[in-house]
Amino acid sequence: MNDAVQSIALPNSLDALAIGVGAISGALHARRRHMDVMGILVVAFCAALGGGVIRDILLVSGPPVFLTSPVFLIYAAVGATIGWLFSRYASRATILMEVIDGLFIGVWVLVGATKALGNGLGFGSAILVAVITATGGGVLRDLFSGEQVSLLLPGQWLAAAALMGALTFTSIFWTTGDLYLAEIMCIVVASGIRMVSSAFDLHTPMPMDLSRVLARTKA
Amino acid sequence: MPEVYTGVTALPTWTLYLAVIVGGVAGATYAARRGFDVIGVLALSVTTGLGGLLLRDILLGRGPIVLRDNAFIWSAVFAAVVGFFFAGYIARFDRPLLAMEALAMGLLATVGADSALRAGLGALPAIVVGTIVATAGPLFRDILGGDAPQLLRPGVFLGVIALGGSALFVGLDAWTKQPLLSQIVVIVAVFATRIVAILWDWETKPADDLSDRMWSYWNRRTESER
Repeated sequence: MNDAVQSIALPNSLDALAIGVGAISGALHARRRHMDVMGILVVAFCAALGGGVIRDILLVSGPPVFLTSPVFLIYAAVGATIGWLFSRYASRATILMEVIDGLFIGVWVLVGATKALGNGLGFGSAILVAVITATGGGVLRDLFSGEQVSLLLPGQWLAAAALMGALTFTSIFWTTGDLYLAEIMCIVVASGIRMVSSAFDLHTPMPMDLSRVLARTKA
Repeated sequence: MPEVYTGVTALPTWTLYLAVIVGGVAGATYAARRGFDVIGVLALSVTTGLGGLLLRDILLGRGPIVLRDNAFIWSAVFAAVVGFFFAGYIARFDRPLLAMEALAMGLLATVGADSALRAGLGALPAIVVGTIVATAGPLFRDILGGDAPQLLRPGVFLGVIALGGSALFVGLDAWTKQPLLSQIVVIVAVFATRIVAILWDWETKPADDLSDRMWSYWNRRTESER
């Protein structure tokens, strides 16, 4: 069954857009922290390509994609340069970039999930790999800037949206076996949740300590 | 499901699942205490529980078993669910969790060292791999949580025990040629040392600097010779 799963190939222009936007936001992040050229480059590259690199290391599927198809490097470099030299223009387009980012989170989830399934992994692992592909870049960015990893902190649905998308993808693909439907629904769900959450400022659920809840009901 | 080598010599694989659950629960409660959200709890449970085994397979250059065998992921997710709902209860059972973590650490150290030996590595690399497998989970947890890693700070007597356990395993295995026996001995030894360290508050100290002492020793020698 898993042989049928081909990693989807995005049109080059979409790849360029997604990676470029990731690199711009990484570069802006580094700029705000007064890093030098090298810092901006590293953080931008991590933000843009980090998730894919972690994914390829986990899947042991040869060198990471950005090394085998170097055009990804060029996209990231262009994005980093824009964020570095034209930060004022770039930061004016923050909302546009957030929208693009939100749209692409579903795509990254999809790419990760199909690649994991194509490598013969089970559904549970595919969900994990998909979420890591979508969010790994942000984690690396925060670690390299020496900050609290913002992904883990309570806030808007980012990784949670990716997780929902991955769950949708695997459950639809598992029950119906329809790859096309699963792909569409994955993007719709992940990006939809991301957009709705940032539009209405919805926050992720916090751990609930049942021991305290039960103690309260007893009292 | 392709045939995969889990690295447990003779102990059944479910012992590893248990180790993952114990590590995962520790990671999840840490996340809940730090005020992380549901993703934080999940992420720290997965990294703390699976980090060591994942790193082992990456170091040995093969596909991570924790991704091939889905039971590992579900164990970590189970741990996350426990941490998400019952962090308060678990905080009350602090000591039993520490004891179970000690058992898991011994198991992971032996499994890591053993799989390195079976992959054809030498004794010293096997000790290093065993130590890494036993300690990587809490290390990842601290890095992601934004703490200075407990493993590296002076105080908690942890990494030294993992190192000693791996070394003991490699030695015993070479001497007795009985992996199961050596594994059990090492797990017991690691557990006992860790418990004693907790009960008697053994602590590691910051690194000493011997250079001054060496100089004063040398000066005293030369003075007395004069």
